[in-house]
Amino acid sequence: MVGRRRVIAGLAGLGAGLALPAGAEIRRASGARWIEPYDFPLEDPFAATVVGTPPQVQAERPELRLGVNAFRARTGIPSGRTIPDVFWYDRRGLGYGVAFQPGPAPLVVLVAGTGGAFNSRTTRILARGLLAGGFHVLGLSSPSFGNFQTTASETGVPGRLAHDAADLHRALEWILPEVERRIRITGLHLAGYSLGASHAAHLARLAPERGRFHFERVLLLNPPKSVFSSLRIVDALFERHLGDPERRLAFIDAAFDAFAQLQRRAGGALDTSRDFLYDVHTALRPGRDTLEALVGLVFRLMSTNLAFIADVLTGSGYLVAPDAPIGATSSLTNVFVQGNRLSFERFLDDLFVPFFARREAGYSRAAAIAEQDLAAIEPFLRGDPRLGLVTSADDIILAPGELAWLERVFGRRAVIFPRGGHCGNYAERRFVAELADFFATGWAR
Amino acid sequence: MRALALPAALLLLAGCAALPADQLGSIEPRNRLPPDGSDGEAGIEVWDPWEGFNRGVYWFNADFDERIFLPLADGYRTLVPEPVRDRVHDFFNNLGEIRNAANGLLQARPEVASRAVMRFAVNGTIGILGLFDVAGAAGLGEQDEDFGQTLGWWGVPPGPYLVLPLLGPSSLRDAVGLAVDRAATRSVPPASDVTELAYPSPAVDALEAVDTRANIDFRYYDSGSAFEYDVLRFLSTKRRELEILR
Repeated sequence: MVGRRRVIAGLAGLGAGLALPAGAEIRRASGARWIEPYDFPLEDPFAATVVGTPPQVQAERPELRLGVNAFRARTGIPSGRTIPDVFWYDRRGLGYGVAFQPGPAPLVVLVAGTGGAFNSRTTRILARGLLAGGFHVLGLSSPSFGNFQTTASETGVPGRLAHDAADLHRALEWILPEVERRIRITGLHLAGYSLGASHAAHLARLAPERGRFHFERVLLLNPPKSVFSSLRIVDALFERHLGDPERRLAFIDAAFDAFAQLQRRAGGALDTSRDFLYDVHTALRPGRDTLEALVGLVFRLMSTNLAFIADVLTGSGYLVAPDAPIGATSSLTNVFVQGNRLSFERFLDDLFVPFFARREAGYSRAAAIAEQDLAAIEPFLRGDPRLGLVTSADDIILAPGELAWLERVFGRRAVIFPRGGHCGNYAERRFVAELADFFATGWAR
Repeated sequence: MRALALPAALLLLAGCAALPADQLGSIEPRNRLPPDGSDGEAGIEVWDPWEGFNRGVYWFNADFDERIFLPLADGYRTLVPEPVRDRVHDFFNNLGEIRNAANGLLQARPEVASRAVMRFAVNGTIGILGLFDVAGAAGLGEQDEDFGQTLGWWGVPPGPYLVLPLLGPSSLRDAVGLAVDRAATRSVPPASDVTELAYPSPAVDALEAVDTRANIDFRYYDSGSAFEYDVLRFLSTKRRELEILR
């Protein structure tokens, strides 16, 4: 059956509507489909999150090749902001990427996760799966990505989902006409992973009000239930493993020792081109602590960047003085080092909440946390038949009880993989088949 | 073009230390590193006394890349079919074996030097003047040695971080290494006998530059990080350490 599925998935466009995923599954009392048994070899969700899909269970999908089946471009500056000197490189505009079919096809707008670019690793993996399913893909950067924040965020402070959705909507108003001039689009879908799934939900809710875009189907991939809770989970990983300066130094040294060791084994330069992380994982078998530290580190680097950009754009005096004449040749090293020491919660309490409280009477930490929870739009999520959900039962960003909540709310429109961690199974065969089938048929059967 | 006005501005910046952003402006930001450095190392420090100049060059490089280098590399990729580009790439790589062999000898590592000589001999003959990397296919993989690594091999520290115009992250030691490699392969026989034939005009050097750029995946500020300079400074310094260990 696997072979047949692959063949069907490979028939770009033509086969998409017929690609009923084969294989085992269990319909739970909630109505959700659990994919069991599931052929995904990484048992540790942190390994899946960091390493991604092992090559032996990857679906066959076309490569993305610029100029052949993909292009990248920049639109203008949708926010109309005058970009400060220190972000001079963003004056070139908001970036986006497109993977396209040779002929007319429906387009899936794909919103990246926390700190992710339109061409982030995860977006590219999903785009290849969608290409195999016969769709065009428009990759958008996350509103929490630096280039989006400077060029397309109304306030400069991303994180309020409804605001971010409005920013995304405007960005799409700029970008989609440009894309339509280059490829033939026969329908419009929406997807997002991780924080991008929360954004997709809010954008799907906003779009009918604006009347400009009609998304036929909307897929939420590994969403946080409560953004705040998820960010705390990930940020706590950094504090636990790397909060102590001595351990941070030791971690950096250990990482380079590991590379030196790999290099000696390889007898020369390392091949970092394909499945590199999986090769490293196979060779070194990093422990849970190392993987947790890595996830925490990646998140902390991202949130430092977000906080600094928000600080400069709003003049909040958080890391730099509001009137600091920072230019292209100012040293940002101190800011980087200091920013990396500050937790996400510090940013929330010291910049985020005060900034919005100045603009909206009564805005508080509690309000911020509540509006970032999918529970805030639960009736919409329950009632809108366009929506679907795919997630993993071992997703590391979900707190106890949150998976059950998602399962209850989405019911028959939910597919749950028992493994895959956070966005780690996006190249796996069954996942790719379910992805394409959702946009082709809405999982109708 | 703004890009062309930049070199003049860079000269003015030369030698300037960069002003730390957290010490600019009229008030003290709420979260700031103790200016006396009393809080220990962060682990990403690299000695960068010419940071103002370096950041200026980084800016220039990013601008040049966007306006000139990348369009050339993209055009090259669009106009020239992949098999031909691979031949060009292998050809220049094979010329690099002269540098590899010399530096293998200077590092007293006969295994490195002999592999370079073997590769050059095999690829230069069976591989038709280096157009095909047959040695690599036969298991004699590529190496990459240069005089900066040779100096590092014998214990010369990298010295101050240095961002070179067009070439990017380097160090004082490695910049000297580059100059020595270049001068030696172009003027010392028997290397110069080969390079005189291989580089009859500056157009060939330009082709080599475009080939190099077309084979590097990096794009300035694709990271979306305001701290790209800092991260790249740290990673490129570490990478050089690894290359010298090898």
